[in-house]
Order: sequence, then structure tokens, then C-alpha cells
Amino acid sequence: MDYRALTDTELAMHLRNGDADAFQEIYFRHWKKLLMIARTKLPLTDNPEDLIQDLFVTLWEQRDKIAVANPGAYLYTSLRNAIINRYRSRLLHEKYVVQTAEALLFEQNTEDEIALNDLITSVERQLGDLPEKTHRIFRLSRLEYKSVKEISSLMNIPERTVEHHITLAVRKLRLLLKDYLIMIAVFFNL
Amino acid sequence: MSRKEFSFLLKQYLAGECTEEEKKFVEHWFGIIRNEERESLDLSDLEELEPLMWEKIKSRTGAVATPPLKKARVFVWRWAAGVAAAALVVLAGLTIFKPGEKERVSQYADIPGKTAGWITKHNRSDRPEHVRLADGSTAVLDPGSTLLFPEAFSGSERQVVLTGDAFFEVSRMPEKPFFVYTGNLVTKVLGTSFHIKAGSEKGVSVEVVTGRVAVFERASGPDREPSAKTEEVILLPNQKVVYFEDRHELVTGLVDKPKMLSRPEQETASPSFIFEEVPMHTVLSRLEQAYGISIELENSLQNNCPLTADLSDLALFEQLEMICAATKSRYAVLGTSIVISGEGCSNLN
Repeated sequence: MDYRALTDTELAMHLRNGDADAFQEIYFRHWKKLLMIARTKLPLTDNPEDLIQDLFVTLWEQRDKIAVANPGAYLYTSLRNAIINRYRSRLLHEKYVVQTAEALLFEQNTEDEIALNDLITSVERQLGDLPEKTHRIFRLSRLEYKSVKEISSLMNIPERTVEHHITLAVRKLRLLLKDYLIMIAVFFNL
Repeated sequence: MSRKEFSFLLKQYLAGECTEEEKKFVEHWFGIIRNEERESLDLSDLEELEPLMWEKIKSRTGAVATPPLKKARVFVWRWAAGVAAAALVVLAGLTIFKPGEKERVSQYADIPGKTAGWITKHNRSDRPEHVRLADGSTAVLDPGSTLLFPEAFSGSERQVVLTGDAFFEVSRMPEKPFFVYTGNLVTKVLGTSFHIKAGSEKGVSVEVVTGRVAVFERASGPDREPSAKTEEVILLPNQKVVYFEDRHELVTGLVDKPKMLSRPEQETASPSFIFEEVPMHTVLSRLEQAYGISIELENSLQNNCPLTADLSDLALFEQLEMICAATKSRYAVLGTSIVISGEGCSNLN
């Protein structure tokens, strides 16, 4: 059987039956993009290859337990959660060198510290100013990892327009989430 | 929002306990985080990686090739380890990740036993000696020190064993990290330069010149369980760590003579240290950037003290002395940062 001709959903069915060739085809389809995402988003000290291997091992081990209708979406969501979990644990446990630098950045801001809920509400309200289309394109691009080309054909708008919306959203978000980018920037470099 | 609150928010997100609004917030944040520091892979690297990663996944899952019977036990054990790791991923949010570094520790805890056939370089002379490694990295070995290294670095890691003092310049190979074993201390680098001083009685110290280095204690004891006492320390340029083996302690600090960080090539101009009526916090943030060391003002009244000074061509601690003299303040090195205390400048004129 030529697995390359199968859809993701069909592959998922074979995977559930323990078909290792289907598993390998899923790997071929998704490993590169997953690795690229892990490489851009993980702190330098974390090994992206290890993380991707873990994801696939999990997919295989859990193949009959989790209803994976769409292995791609499953893998991307798992990757996102795994990366977020690294940051979570680092924010909590990295007590060493970086903390002092980070503390410095934050101690200066204590006077305008706002309660978490207010802040989230305020960020989301300001984001609400962006057109619905921009939101949707941002999600497709940065959370579902669709390429500009894919989004363009999906929404039937020119690629340049897609790029424009992404730039718009990213620029606004960078500004609104500045503090939370600084907070983790210490895990990237200093 | 403090880092604690933020990390709690992330935890709730992972547990699926966020409100719709909080969920969006986290996803927006995730959408724009980017690590610009990691070196990009070129196409040929990717081609090599594809089968390599697949082999590892295969060996961990047992998918595809059914292993021969006599290997079955090993296979089952590995598989079990795979499940354990997998469970951690799935329960993300409930479990703390087992740090990858610790895994390496137990995996390579027997390194000094695996050095059969390695080259031993012992510096019997009275001057430092250059040693060139197979990957293009170099080590400058101090007199009386010994370096053990393989003729070629095979496998996914580069490993050397050091006794004594050495300065390393490691070629950047992000996919093949470089490990220096010094007694029970392990220094992991991706590509950088740093000193290791193991010859002194005060304990092993690691000082970073460029790049980033992770330092941690090797697994010890008969069961080779990773030591629970020390955690991994990440060092940035101008920072050092001293390892006290008997106390299993890693103490961080600044190197004695901090050096300015090298600038990216496109920014050839080095930062100007000539200041005229510049607020103190601006001067300090210029220094912070130049040396990559955090400098804190204890008293916010000091923030806007105007400073006029030419601090060019001075070492960091001399620059700080001048600043302190001009603003009637004092500085102290606390761990890896510098704290300046003073009364502020209302009474200076």
C-alpha cells in the first residue's frame, strides 16, 4: 500500500491499529515543521530534537488511547503544550543566574503593577481593535502553522494581504505583551 | 504580573482550566515568542537529521522492526522508559519536566570509563599548550594539566575529560553539544569560549567568555542516580561558577575582570562611554548591555542623578568606581549582579 497517497485521517486509522508504516508516514509528513517550530520557540538550553522525538514516541504509545483523528493537529497541540510547559517550569524553577537579571527588569515596574486579570482583559480589549480577519489569519499562521500560501488559498485573498495581516497582529502583540517577552527573553540570551 | 503568577497562568492553561480570555492571552503570547539566537539549520543538516531522528524514535517505540528475541529484554526496558517520558509530555502541566540534562548525566555517567583508545595530552612544559580537537575546537592547556579526548567525535555528543586548568574555544555545532568532564562536574556548551580551572584547591571554577554554558554535577554513587543536591546552572559571559565538591554546591559570581561582549558585526561601533549630564540609570544600562551583567540601583532616588564622565578605556570595576565617586555611592557584587547603593543626588551640588 502506498501510504503517501493516504489522507491524515486515513493514516490515523491505520495508526490506531498499530500500523508502523502509517506511523512512519506521519513522521515524514510532520517532523520537519515540528522541528522548525521547536527550534524557534524553545530556549537555547533545550534540545529541540529530543522534544520532537518525545512527541512521536507519545503518539505511538498512546495510539489506541487517544482518539487521534488528525495526527498533525494533535502533534502541533502537543508541541505547543510541551513548549509552554518548559517555560512554565523554567519561570518557576530556574533560580540561578538569569533570575537576578530578570528581577532587575521587573523590580523597576512594581509601581505600575496591575492585577493579572485586569491586564489580560486590557490586552484582549486592545486586541479587539484588530479586524476579525487579522485575528483569524494570526491564528492560522502562528497557532496552526499554516503557510502564507495555504492561508491565501484557504481564505481566498492575495498572499501579500496575508503577510500584511500577520505583520499587523505581530506588531501589536509585541507591544502589548512586551513584559512577557522580556520575562522569557532571559532564557534566550542576554 | 510576576513570573510566579505568569507561570501559574501557564499551568492553568496546560490543565485546561483557563477562561477563554486567559487562553487567548497565552496563545497570543506563544504565537509571538521567538528565539532569534539559535543558529539556522541548512538543508543538508535537515536531510541528515530525518533518518537520525527516525532511528531514535524507532528504537524507543519498537515500531516497524520487530526486535530479535534475545534483545527483547533490553527492548522492553527502553520501551518502558519511552512510556515514562511520554507520560510526562501528556501530563504536561501536572508534572514537572525531567530536565534533559539530568538524563544525559545518568546516560553518560560512566564517561571516564569509556575513554579507552582516547588521546591523552599531558602538559609537562612550563607554558600553556594549544591542543586542537577533531572538530576544530581548541583547548589551551595549562602546565601540569591533562586533557583526554577522542581522535574523532562520533555519536551525537562531543566529550572530553579535563584534569587541571584549561581555556576552551568550542566550534559551534548546535546539534552536537560539547561536554567537558572535570571530576564530578560537567560543563555543557553549544559553541563558546570559557575557562575551566580545576587545578586549584578552592574547587573547580568555570568562567564564561562568550556564549552560554550549562554546568551541573555528574551522577555519583553506585546507583548512578543524578545527584539531587545541585541543579544545573546556566552561565552567561562574564559569569563564573565555583563548584564545591564536598558540599555538592555550585556558587555563581562574576569573573574578576569582566570583558565587554563582542558586538555583532553589523554594529561595528563599540558603545560610547562618554557621558554628559546623562541620568545614572541610562549610564548603567549602557554598561549592562556592554558587559551583559545586571546592575541594580538600590535606591530609586539615584535613577536620575546626572552624570558627566568619560569612562572609555576603563575596565568595568574602574568605571563603577568613577561612577560611585561622582555620585557618592557604593557598589557591591552580589552573586552575578552588581548593586549600587547611595542616597540619591539631591545633596550633591
